[in-house]
Amino acid sequence: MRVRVRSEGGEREIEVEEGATVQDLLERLGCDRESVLVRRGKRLVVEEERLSDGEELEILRVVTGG
Amino acid sequence: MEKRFRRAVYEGGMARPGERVGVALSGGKDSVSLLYLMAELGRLRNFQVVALSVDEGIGGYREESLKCARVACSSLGVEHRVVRFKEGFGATLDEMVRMAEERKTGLDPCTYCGVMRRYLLNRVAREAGVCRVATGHNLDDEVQAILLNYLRGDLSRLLRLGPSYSPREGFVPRVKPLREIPEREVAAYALIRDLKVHLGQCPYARGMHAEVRDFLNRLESRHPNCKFGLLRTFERLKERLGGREEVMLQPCDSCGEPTPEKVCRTCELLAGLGLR
Repeated sequence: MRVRVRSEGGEREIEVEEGATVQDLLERLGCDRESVLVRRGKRLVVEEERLSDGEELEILRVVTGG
Repeated sequence: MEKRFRRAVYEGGMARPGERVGVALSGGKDSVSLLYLMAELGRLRNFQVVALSVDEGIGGYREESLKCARVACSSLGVEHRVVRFKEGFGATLDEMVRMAEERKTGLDPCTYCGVMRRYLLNRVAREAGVCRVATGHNLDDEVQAILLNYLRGDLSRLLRLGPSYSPREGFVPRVKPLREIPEREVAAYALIRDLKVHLGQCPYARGMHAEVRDFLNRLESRHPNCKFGLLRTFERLKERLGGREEVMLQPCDSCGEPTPEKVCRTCELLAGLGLR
């Protein structure tokens, strides 16, 4: 199945396996969970949540400073 | 998160009824969240909150974050004081960075900024009549600082991390109510409360700090609680080593601000740039 991901780097479609979770998606993208928050619409989602086909997610980078 | 914040404030004696407490406010997610938490607790516990901002003069960065700072203060009805490098030192940080390059001082922007921001924050805190200044440092900031000081072998700076309660002439003590709350949770809090916060990155940020941050985040992702473990171990180590090194402060010969030396670090840096 596919999900649409919006992040700093723009928008893209990602192919994920059936039953994949938010955590699987983050690993796919090479993001560590500590550096980001994931939103579905206005709601924050936890890493264990399952993805559904065709949905849109937003990945927000939360780390600053440096 | 609100509960943990309140417990930190109560147990650490960070704000008591009748007191006037400063909050260092940059306009980023940590300090804006802290201001909301402090102002709301202040109404319940009857202490007064004053927001203190330092405008270093970093083009394309600080203006935006100070806008968020002003929005937060006006929506909370909190007194807001802003001090500027330009007024305090005669030059913005951007100008100092150019001067440092011309004069080949070999010092990076963060050295000037860190030293001078603390200097002005202390001065504005004293002028505002606050008994303490709360800063928005979170768990990530703390463990990054611990690891960086370890890596640099800077033991005296390492031991100075953490709360300081002993009042010293001219120096307003700092407290960190969010120091046990992970950065990600503070960000989630700001998002859930729909707070207007600045998420930009300082244009001068570079070097080992970002690498240490990313390293700790990767480690924490795979081994939850290691940041907390690092903080706890550091605290126990610090206790065994006799706590923070308290240095005697005296007025700077040049500007009168408290310093352990004859001339304070800010005046030294300004002299190096030909600004004093």
